Amino acid sequence: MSLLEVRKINKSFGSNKVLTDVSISFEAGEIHSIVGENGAGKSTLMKIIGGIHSCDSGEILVDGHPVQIHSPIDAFKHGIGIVHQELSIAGNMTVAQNVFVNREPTNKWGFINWTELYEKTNAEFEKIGVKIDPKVPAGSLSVGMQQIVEIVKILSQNVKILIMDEPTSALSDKEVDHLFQLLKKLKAKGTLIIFISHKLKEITYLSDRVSVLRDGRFIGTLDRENMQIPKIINMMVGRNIDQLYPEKGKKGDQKEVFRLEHGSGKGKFTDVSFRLYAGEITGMFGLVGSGRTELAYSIFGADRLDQGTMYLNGEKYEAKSPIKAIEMGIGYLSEDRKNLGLFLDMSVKDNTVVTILQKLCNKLSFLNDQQAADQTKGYIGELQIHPEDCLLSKVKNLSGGNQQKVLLAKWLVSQPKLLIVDEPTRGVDVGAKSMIHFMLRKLADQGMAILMISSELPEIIGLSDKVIVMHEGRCKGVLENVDLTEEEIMTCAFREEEDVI
Amino acid sequence: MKSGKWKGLLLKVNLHYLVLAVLILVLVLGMSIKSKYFLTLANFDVLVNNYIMEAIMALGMTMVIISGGIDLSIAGILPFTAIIFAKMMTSGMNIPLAMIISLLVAMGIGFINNELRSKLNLYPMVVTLSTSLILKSINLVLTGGTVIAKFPASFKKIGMFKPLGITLSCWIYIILAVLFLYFSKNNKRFIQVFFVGGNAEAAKLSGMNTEAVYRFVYVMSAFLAGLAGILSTTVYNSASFSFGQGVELRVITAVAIGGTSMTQGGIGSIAGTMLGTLFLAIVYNAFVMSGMSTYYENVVTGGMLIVAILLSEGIRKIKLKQTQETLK
Repeated sequence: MSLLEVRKINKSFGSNKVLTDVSISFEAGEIHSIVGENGAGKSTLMKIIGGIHSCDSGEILVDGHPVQIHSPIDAFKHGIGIVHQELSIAGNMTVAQNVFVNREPTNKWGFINWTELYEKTNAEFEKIGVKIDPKVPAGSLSVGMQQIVEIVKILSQNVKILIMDEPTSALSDKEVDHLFQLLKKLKAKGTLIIFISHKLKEITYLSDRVSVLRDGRFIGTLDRENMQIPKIINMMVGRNIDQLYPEKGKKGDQKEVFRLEHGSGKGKFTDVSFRLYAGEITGMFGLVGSGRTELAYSIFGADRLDQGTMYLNGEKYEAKSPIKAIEMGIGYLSEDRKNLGLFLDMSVKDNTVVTILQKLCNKLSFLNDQQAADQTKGYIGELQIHPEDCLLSKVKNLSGGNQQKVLLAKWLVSQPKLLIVDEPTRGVDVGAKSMIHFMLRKLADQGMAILMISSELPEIIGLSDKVIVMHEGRCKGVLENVDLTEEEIMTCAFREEEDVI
Repeated sequence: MKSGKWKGLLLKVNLHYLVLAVLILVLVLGMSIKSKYFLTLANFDVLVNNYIMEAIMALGMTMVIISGGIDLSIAGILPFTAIIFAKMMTSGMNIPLAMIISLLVAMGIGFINNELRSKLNLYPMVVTLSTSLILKSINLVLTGGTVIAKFPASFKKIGMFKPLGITLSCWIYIILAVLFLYFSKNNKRFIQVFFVGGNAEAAKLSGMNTEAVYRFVYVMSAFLAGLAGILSTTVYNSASFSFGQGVELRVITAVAIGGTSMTQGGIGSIAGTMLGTLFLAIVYNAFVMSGMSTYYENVVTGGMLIVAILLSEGIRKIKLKQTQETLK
C-alpha cells in the first residue's frame, strides 16, 4: 500500500486545462522527483496535494484511505507539508516564532510561554543536527539558513510527506549539499520526500524514482536503473533533443570588442583581466560570491571600478552609468529576472522597448506606438515567445521560460555590440533553455561579443568558446574550450595562487 | 575592542528610543530653563490632556500600521461616536447603556472598514478615507452644524472625576498603554499582527486566519477612536462635528516618529509610539508656553518626522548587519 497516491486528478483554471487524469503513487522512505517543463503542471499538482488548490475531479489517498484536502491545515492533518518555491518566512520575526507560527505554546489566555517556545525550537533543530539561535530575526539569516528554518517549521508538525518545490534555486552549492544530506537523513527515517527541480543532475543524484509530467499528463515513472538524463528529457519534451547545445563558432578574425585590465572593485573582485572578441561566447564560470555579478555591474556602469581600465572597441571606456553603457552598445541581462529585469505588471511590448524608448520617440517625446509594436512582434516571432498574441499581455502572466525570452528581447532590441548575460537560463525548462542557447550562438555568429555568466558547468562547457574561471573575486584562468571537462574547470577554480600561469 | 563593545551595546539598546528620550529630555530641560511654569503640575495637566486622545488612538493605529494597513477613518469615528452618544444621552437614555451602544457602533464601523477592504479588495487607505468622509458628512447632518450640549448633571460629574489629580482620560490611557505594551509582546493575537504585516502570504500558508487578524486591528482602532469620542464629550461637556479635526494625521505622525515602519509591515512597537506621542505633546506645549506662534509647530513635527524615519531605517540597517556578522 502506498503512503500517498493520487488518482485521476483533473484540474482546469478557466478554460485552461492544467492536469488531465494524473495518477501517481508514492512510497514511504523514498525521494520521488517530479519533473516536467514549465507549465507541465508540477506545481499545480503539488498545490492540490498541499491543499492550496482543490482538484476538479480525482482522489487523493493517504495510507490507502481517500482523504479530503481543502486547505493547508487539512494537509497538515494528514501529515503533508510543503516547502514552497518562494520562502514563506516572516523576516521581521525570530526563528522560533517562525518555526512555531500559529502554534506557539500559550496559556489559556493566549499569552506565549517563551521558555517553552525556545526549548521546543532548539529541540526541533537538534533533531536534524543544526545549531541556530532561536532568538535572531529570521530575515538576518542567509537564504540557505532561512530555507532550513522553513523545513524545520514543516517537519515540526509531524510531517511524513514533505513536498519541496524547487528548493535549490536560490542556494549555493554548499547549502545544496547540506540540504541533500538532510533530505537523505529524513528519508532514512521513513519520510516520503517529493522533490521538484529543473536541475536534472540534482534529480538523478538524489532521487529513488522520477515521475515525468508533460502538458498536464502523467508520462511515466523511472526507477534508479533507468534514470538517465537523455531519457528523462525525452519524456519531458516528447521528442529527442539530440543536440542540446549549438555548434561552436568558427574562429573569426579575433576582433577585440572589450578588454578589462587589472580591474578591482568593492573588495568583491581583484585584479581581473580578460578580453572579449566579436563572434565569440565567453563563458564566465563562478559560484555565487565569486564576484562575477559585481564585475558585470562595473562593466555595465551600475557600479564603478575602483581600479583598472576598460577598453571598448579599442578605445578607453569609462562606465559612468547604465544609460551610457547602453548608448555605447552594452547590454546586461540580469540574473534576477523578477526584481531587476522585468516590469511584471507591464506588457510584453512595454518591457521589450524600454531600452530604446528614446529612439522610438519623436522630438516632442511622444512614443511611436506602432513602431514599438512592430519591433516587439519581430522578437516574439524570432524567439518563439508563447503565446504568440502576447504583445499586450502582462509579463507576469507568461511562464518562466517565456519571461526569460522577453528579457532577452529587451536587450536584443537595443542591438548591443557586447551582451552580458547573467545566468541566462536560471529557472527555465529544457525546451526554452535550448532555444535561448541557440539564440545566443546565432547572435554571436552575427558578430556580437557575448559574456555569459553561469554557475552551471554543463551550460558553460556546452556553449562557450572560451571560459573565464572566477573564484573568490579572482580570475583563476582563461581556458580555451576544446574538449574542456568539468573537472578541469573546477581544478582551475580551486588551484592555489602560485599555480596561475 | 572598544568598537566591538559599542556594537554589542547597539544590539541590545534600542537606539531609536534612546534618541527620542534624549530629545524629549533636552526639550524638557530647555523649556524649564526658559519658563518657570513649564515644570508645574498645572502645565503637565495641560500638556498631557492636549494630546491624550491622540495618544489613545495611536495605540490602535500602531497595530493597524504594523499589519501593513492604515486607518484614516478615526477622524470621522471620533466625532460620530461623540455625537450619537450625546444624542442618546440627551434623549434620556441611561448613560452607561448609551456608552456601550456608541462603542459598539464605533466597532461596527471598524468591522465595515475591514469588510470593504477584504471583500472588495481595496486599499485600506482608500477605504478608510471614504468612511471618514462619509462620517464627517453624517456628523454635520446629525448636528445641523451646531454643538450638542445640555448634558444631564450626573454626566458632568464624570468630567470632574480626577482620582489622584489625574483625569479620567489619562487613567484610561495609562491602563490601555500598559495592556498594549504587554499584549503586543506576549499575546498570540497581537503577535499574529506582526506576522501578517511581515509576510501575509506566509502567515496564511502557516494556517493563520489572516482575515481575523485584519478584522481585529481595524475593529480595535475604531473602538479606540470611539472611546476617544466619548472621552471628548466628558472633557468638553458637549459634542461637536468639529471634534478630532486632522487627528488622523497627528496620530500617524506620532506612530511614525515612534519608529513604526510606514512602508514595510511587521516593524514597530507600542513603546515607540508612546514616546512619539509624548514628543509631539511636548513640542506643542513648548510652542504654546514660549509664546511662539503655534503656526510654526508643524515645521518642527514635520522635520522631526523625517529625522525619525531616517533614524529608524538607519538603525535597522546597522542592526541587520550586526546580527549577520555575529552569525558568521
